[in-house]
Amino acid sequence: MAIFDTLGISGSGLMTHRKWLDAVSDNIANINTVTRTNEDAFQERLVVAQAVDYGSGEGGVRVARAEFGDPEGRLVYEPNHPLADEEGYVKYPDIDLGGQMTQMMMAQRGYQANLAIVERATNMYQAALQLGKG
Amino acid sequence: MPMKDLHGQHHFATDRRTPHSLASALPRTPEVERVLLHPSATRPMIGEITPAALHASLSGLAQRQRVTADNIANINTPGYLAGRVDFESSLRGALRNGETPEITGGSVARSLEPTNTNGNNVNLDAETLIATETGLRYQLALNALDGKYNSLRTALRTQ
Repeated sequence: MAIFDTLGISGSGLMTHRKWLDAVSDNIANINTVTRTNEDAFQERLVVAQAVDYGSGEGGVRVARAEFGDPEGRLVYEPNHPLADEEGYVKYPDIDLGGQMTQMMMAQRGYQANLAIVERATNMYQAALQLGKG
Repeated sequence: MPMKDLHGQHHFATDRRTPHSLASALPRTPEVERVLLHPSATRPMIGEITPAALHASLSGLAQRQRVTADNIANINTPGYLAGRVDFESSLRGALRNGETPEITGGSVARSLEPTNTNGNNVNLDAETLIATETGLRYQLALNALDGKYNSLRTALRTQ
């Protein structure tokens, strides 16, 4: 049990939510990335969160791994597209913009909640550091 | 108190003037003073139960703040169950029995609130409330401890 470990725990929450936000922005940036039908479509980035030492120990959260969505994508009929195959199809990534926006809000709110705890813990530590000065 | 001071100074002054008697005079003096100071004192003020109880409370509250931070860090982690700290019951039991509370922190239990679809049951409203209340109670305990130390300091001040 370190002395200022509330800050470390909140810091791990901040980092995990920021990684999630990074993944979401990557997904949204590539939502219209077109590929040929014989290639893999852009795969959705998914962040897997995992509690550190669940129930005991130092606590906090970490990004366990990144996972990737469906490479199949969805086929769209665009015969004038330079990447279209002979039947006139191109491949778009199978990413739902509404879902990504929802995830973005969740990541943002989670980040803010962790930041609020950082502030609160700082106030507590500062009060403790004033002990015996009066 | 004045008796002791006069006594001690008198001896000290005599010893300085006659250095050869210093060795025989010094070892005896502290023993006499210690007995005179508090012959029946069983609990000196610094070792009192109040600072120990406040310390136990501070330690438990700090742990609760830590667990709350853990809960909020895992607010979006699937399958995570919120932790709850209880240190009050053991502290209350120790104080009721007149024992000096042990500073061990509290026990962490998992919340049995219903989970949402991804198996997580962290409730941001509840956690924010707990964090606010814990912070305020921490400052309250700190203020009480500060007051205790202030009165100690007053008692130790010579003039």
